[in-house]
Order: sequence, then C-alpha cells, then structure tokens
Amino acid sequence: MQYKLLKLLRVVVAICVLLAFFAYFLGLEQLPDRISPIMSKISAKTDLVERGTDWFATHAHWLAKIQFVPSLLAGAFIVFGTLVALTILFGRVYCSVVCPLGIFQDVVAWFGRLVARFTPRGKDAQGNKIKRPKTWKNYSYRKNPIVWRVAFLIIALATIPLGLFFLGLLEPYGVFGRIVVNIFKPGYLAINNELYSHLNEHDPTSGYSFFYISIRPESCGALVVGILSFIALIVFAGRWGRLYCNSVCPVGTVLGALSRFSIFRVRINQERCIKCGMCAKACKSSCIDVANKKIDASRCVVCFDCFSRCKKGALSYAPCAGKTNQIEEGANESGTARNALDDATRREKEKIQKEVQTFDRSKRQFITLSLLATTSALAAAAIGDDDQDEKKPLELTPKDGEETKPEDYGLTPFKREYMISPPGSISHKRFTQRCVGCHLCVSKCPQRILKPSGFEFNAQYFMQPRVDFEHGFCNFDCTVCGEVCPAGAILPLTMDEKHLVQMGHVVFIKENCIVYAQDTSCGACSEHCPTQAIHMVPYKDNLTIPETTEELCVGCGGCEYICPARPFRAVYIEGNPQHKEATPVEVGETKEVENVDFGF
Amino acid sequence: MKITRHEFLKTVALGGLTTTLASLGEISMLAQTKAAEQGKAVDFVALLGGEPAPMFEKGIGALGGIERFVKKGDRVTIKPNIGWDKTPELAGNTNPDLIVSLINACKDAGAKEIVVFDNTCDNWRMCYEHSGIEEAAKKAGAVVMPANEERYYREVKLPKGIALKSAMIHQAILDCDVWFNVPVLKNHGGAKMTIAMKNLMGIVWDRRAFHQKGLDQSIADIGTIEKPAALNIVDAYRIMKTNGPRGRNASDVELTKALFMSTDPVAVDTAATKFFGQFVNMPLDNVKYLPMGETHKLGTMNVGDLSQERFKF
Repeated sequence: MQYKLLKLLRVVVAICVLLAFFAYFLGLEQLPDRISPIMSKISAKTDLVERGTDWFATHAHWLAKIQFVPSLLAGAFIVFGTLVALTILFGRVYCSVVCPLGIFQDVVAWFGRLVARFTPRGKDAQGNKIKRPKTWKNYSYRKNPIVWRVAFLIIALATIPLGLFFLGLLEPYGVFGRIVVNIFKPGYLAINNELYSHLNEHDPTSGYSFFYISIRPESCGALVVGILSFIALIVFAGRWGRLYCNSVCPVGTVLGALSRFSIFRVRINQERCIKCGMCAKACKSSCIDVANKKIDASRCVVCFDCFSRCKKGALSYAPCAGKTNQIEEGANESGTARNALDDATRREKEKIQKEVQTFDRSKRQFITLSLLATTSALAAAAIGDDDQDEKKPLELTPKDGEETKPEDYGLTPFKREYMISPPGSISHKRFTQRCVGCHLCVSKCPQRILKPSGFEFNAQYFMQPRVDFEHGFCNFDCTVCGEVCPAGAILPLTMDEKHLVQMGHVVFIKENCIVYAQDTSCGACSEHCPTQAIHMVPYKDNLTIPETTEELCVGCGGCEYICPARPFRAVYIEGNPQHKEATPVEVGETKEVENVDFGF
Repeated sequence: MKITRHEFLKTVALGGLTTTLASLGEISMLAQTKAAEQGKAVDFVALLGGEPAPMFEKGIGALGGIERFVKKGDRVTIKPNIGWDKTPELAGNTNPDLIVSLINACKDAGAKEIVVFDNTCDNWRMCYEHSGIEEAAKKAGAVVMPANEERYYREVKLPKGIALKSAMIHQAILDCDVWFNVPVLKNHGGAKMTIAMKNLMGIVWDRRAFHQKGLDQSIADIGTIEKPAALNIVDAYRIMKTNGPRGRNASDVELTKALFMSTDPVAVDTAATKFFGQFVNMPLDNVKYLPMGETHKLGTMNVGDLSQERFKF
C-alpha cells in the first residue's frame, strides 16, 4: 500500500516539475498579463492567479539551478551536495523527479505503452497475424552496458578543456532545453499568434493583451539538433524506456555509481520471489535480473513501477537488506536453521558479487585513466592550436586612393574574427567550458539576439549561444541572460556592471559609410550608441560623420544593427575573446535652467 | 490656482491683454504677436515655465480647444516618442503626463477610441514600460498598441516624395480619424534635431530606408502623407541637449519646462530649434530637413507668419 502512495507521489511531483519546466522555458509566466484583461471580464478572482504566477515567475529559475551538471558548473556546492546526498540516501530519485529529460522520457514511454495497449490483437482481414509492438508493451532485463556508460562519461569529462561540446550534447538538462526552445517554443508562439489574431487583431478595445511574435528558428543548427534529439527521445524512450539514462547519460552514470551504495533501494526478497518476471516487464530501466533475483541499483531510478506487478510481495524499498529480511522473516514460517543456511549462502553470494564489483571497478578505473590520458592530450593539443591562430590580421581590404570615391557604399567586405559571447561570460574560453547549451537564455532574451552557434567560428562553440545583431542589439539596460543562466556560464551582472562590460568593440569602415559615399546625413549608428563610443563629428557642408572611441564601447551592437549600408555595413562589432572593462561615461546631473526665454 | 479654459477665455475677452501683462494668480501672460482677434483660435502656441498638464490645457485652449481637432465618435491616435528604454527623467521619450493630458482631453471631446503607439528603437516592451507611457496611457483609458512587427504596417505611396517614394505606415495612423504628433525635443546625431518632423520615423516600419535614401530628404518626404498630424505638440519640459537622441545620462538633460504646439510641423520645429539654440549652439542651417519641408509646403520656417500666442507661467 505505501508503495502505491510512493509511486503516486513520484508521478505527481514529476508531472508538476515537467510542466513547470515547460512553462519556464516557453515563458508562460508572462501569460497572466495577457489573459488578465480577458479573465477580468469573466471572473473577479484573477488576483489569486496573478499572485500564483508572480510567485512562479520569481522562483522558476530554481528549476534550472537545481540540475546536476549546471549546479556543478556554477559551483553551487550546496545544491550539488544535496543532490549527491539525496542519491546516496534514496537512490536515483533525481532521475525520476528532478531531471526534466528523465520525466519527459517517462511520459513518452507511457504513451508508447498506451499505443501498444490499444493495438488490436489477433488477425487482420487477410488472416495475417497483427504485428504488435512487443517491446513497447513490455520491457525486459538487459545487461548493464557498463563500457558504453563509462566511455560516454569519459568522453564528456575529458573534452571539457576543449569546451562542453560533448558534455553539453549528452547531458540531459541541455538536451531537454534544446528540444523545448527549438521545437516547442515555435509551436507555442504559433498558438500565441493565433490567439492574438482571434482576440486582439480586429478588436482594439481588447487592449492588445496578446501581441504578435514572429516565428523564426533560433538557428538552423539548433533546429536540426533539436529535431534529432526529439526523434531520438521518442524512439529511445518509446521502445526502451530509460535506455538513454542508463547507457549514454553521463549524469545517469555518475548517479548510478552512487546509487549502487544508496541506503534505501529496491530489493528482492529471495524467499518470496518466484521468478515470475512480472516486475522485469514493468521495469523501464531494464535493471531487474529475475533469473538471478537481482536488481542493478546503478540503473534503478526508483520509479516504483515494479511494485504493483509483484503479487508475492517480494519487493521492498528499505534502508538495508538485513532489516527488511528480518521483518519479512517474522512473517515467514521457515525455521531458524534454514535462515542460518540462507544467511550463509547469501553471504557467499555477496562475497562473489563484491569480487565481481571490485573487478569491475578496477577495470573501469583502468579504462578511465587510459581514456582520460589520451583525450586530455588531444584536448591540450587542440587548445595549443587555438592559441596559435589567436592573432590573425583582420581581413579588410582597404581601398587605396581615397580620392576616387565610390557612388555605392557598403562594398568593402569584412569578416568578424571572433564571435561575441554574452555579457557576463567573461571570456570565450571560460564560457565554452561552462555552457551546456540549454538555450534558456536564447528563449529569455527580450531582444532575441542570442543565437545558438553552429560551426561558424569554432566547432567548440557548437550549440552555445553567441550574440548576433541581425535582428536586434543588446539592450543597454537589460541583464536577463545572466539572471537565468543556471551554469554560471553567463554570470549575473548588476546594471552598473553590465554598463561597463565590453563584450566586443566597434570597428568603423569609412568606405562603407553613406555619409562618406553620398554626402548625406545619417548618424543611425551614433543614434543607437548608449555610450557615444561612436559619435558624429563635423565633416563637411554641415555634415557629420561617425568617429569611434573604442574604450567607451560595450559592444551592444546598436550601431551594427541599424547601419543601413549593404551588403557590408560600415560599422560592426568585433568580439572580444576576453571581455574588457569599458571606460565609464562621466555622469552628471540634470540642470534646471533659470530665466529661460522662447528664443524666437 | 487652476484655471479652466473657459475662465481663461473669458479673461482674455475682458482685458486688453495685447499690451499689458495681466496677472492671473501665478500665471502671467505675454503679448501675442499675431493673434488677429482676441479669443480667436491661433495656429501656434508657445508655453514656458509650467508643468506639462497645465501648460497643455492652456495651450489647447488657445488653439481653439480640443474640439477643433477631435469630433465626437472619432478614432484618435497619439504618436509620442517612445523610442528608448529610458525613464521620463532622462528625456529620451515624451513626458507621460503630457500624454495623459492629451488622452483626457480627447476623451472629453467624445473620442470613440484612443490608440497610443511608437515604433521603438530599443526593445519595445522595455520602452513602453520604462517610459511610463504604457501604464499612464492605459490608466487614462487609451489602448496601447504594439508596433514591433511588420504586420501592423501597410504600404502607402508618397507621390510627392523625392527620396522616399513609398513607406510602410502603421495601421493606427492609417485607420484613425485624427492623430496627434507628440514628440520630445532632442538633439540628434544624424539629423541634428529630432522634433515633430523627425518623430514621423516612428510611424514607419523600415526606418533604415530613411538612412539609405538620405535622412533629411526622407524626413521631409514622410511629411507629405495624405493624413498629416492634426496637431504637433512638442514636449520641451525636459530636453536632451547633447548625445541625442538616446542620451547617455542625466547630464545630457536640461529641465526647461516648455511646450510648443502648432498645426504647422515646420514652424514648430523651427521654433523649437531656436529655443534649443539658447542652450547648445544649433544654427538653423544645420537642420536641413526644415527648408526641405518648406519646399514640400508642409509649413513655414517663418514662425512669425502664424497667428500665435505665448504664455509664461
């Protein structure tokens, strides 16, 4: 009975966490603002909803911050320690109710089994037997794919010096984020736009509570990765339950190593078990070895699905084997002699198991060390390469003979040497070793200027966001990306700090400027510059032309975004591999003028 | 002491105000130069030294009351400058108090609906929010409309345009019965000044086209739209004297407590530029779109040609 409650608790918590995750990644906390004008027409009790969503909006960032890898990367050791302690105490509870991808897989698996349940049995019209997706209905025991698990873990860890390319791709939180942001968010926006066109577009009195948001993929690479991950998720989880968690996921491997020794864990009572195998059929982790009456605790995610299947009461979730057996033995009619015998055999078995385990462990250590050595050597070599091409000259082709002025402008090509990492990321190197590519910042950036990288600058930035000024620029008074980043890849900045972070610097290409080419006024760049790092200076015929003061520049990209020159702009931001501190602008006060007159 | 428009008009009718300065509580009035007859509506009003709301009420009274522009049942659109993610103290955007006064006046005149919008430069949500305009306008009963997506705009031909032959114009301008242009007085890196004529860049979707085709001529050209603003209300309560139109901090701002209102965008821009020139050197020659606007017959640079009144608070 109490196991039913435990399972119910697990399912309820898991579903709440998953829904909250979706809401947070999609930005649903803004929804009440939009529906409140409509709701207030229906009911007066919008107050409670608003308070609830306000609470959610201010606390939802914790969902991401209690994830295993992000908390480790962010150095949030209290959170990380709690997760480790939780696992040592209760097994891989994290995988069942905290990890969004784990829960998402359970949901997919549940639907997969539902499909199987409603596939008709028997024969079809032609008399052929209907092929039923057998594996979708029942799971079965598989051996622990220890080599795969360790190999993936080592690849993920050893490549960290290179950047989080592999860890980011394998790690569950990042995978989940990429799926939601790149696939579900466009869907959500489509619904939003549909609501807008029904509720607001033709009825201005509705107050434009919903507004149209254009749908565009964040980047092609991210879309492809998102779709592939989603397909893999459906196939893997639908057919094999938690196979990903127990063969690929580096977090699953680490927590599995801990849960091997966890205090509470699911155990099989050797006397009661009749090897009927029902529990194994329900086990999405495929970790119940019925033949040997063993449960591989390293793969068990304590979902409690097996308990309801066992008709013999042979399963228990208890602190230690001795205690449970004692309690259960009280109910047993067997004599003490038999128990003593059993104890002896059990001890022997345990000894053998232990030996196997230690052998396993030493083997693993060996593999670990050797792989670690080779991969880190590779990593070091790659970083060395990186340093070499740090100082390449800018590919600018300055026009010689400035007197021959072109009528056209924007023809001088330029190539950005470095990507621009988000403010608060301190340096490219630091950023690339901390960001798992969950795309939460991509989803939350109000200006939608964070774009997941493909291979544009360097493969090591793959899926990590960079700043892109094609559709907007970094709002000077905005610190959202740092506030949401759970991994500390983008550190939270105060407004004053943000104003002095130079993530890139301005480069002005005079030949591309319309003022220079056509003797007309423009100044769009300077107009958008929050620090006047690009400002207009007298040129000729009362015209003004841009001039740059690099040390004032914060690299917000307002100038680059608005510059009208095409195909090549007259001003662009070159990324700073190591962010610099901009010179603060002198701050004064507003004067109130006395004895002012009209002046005309 | 607050004076209603009626009281004011009555006073004007009673006294020979053209030659003497009459004291009405804290308000003193200057002689107007070209108001043909006393109590008759003028086309240009300049006000100095007051708060935005009372200055507006006084000014709109002198222009003949809001009823001159808004008929009962009209759909009204208000186009302030909400271009930047700035608080009202930093003068990046039009003063919200002024917008509220205008909304209230339109409501009193029986406007059916009042829409407020601007195509912002900074993030539109932040601009709308931090400018204080969204909240104030909503509270006053106006609809605050987004302008951040192309779908809100429709293509309009500009047959008189020289550089700008057509433009995508916001539907709130195209669909309304009457609209008000409510800019804030600021210095501008490219166009030198941004006032009423330049404020029309915010009714257009592709502002980059202005820069591509020649900024000054495009500013003049957009003024030739079929339905120009009924009234241009230039907020000079706080002005941005340097580093405009965005400004860096409070030292770019001066508290000048002025307001200029006119049906003539060229005149009001000329007057505002001259007013601005008292604080920072700004010769009229530098503002090239003014004579271009005159050529387009949008108005006159000779402010003295207009019937006008001036008030000092």
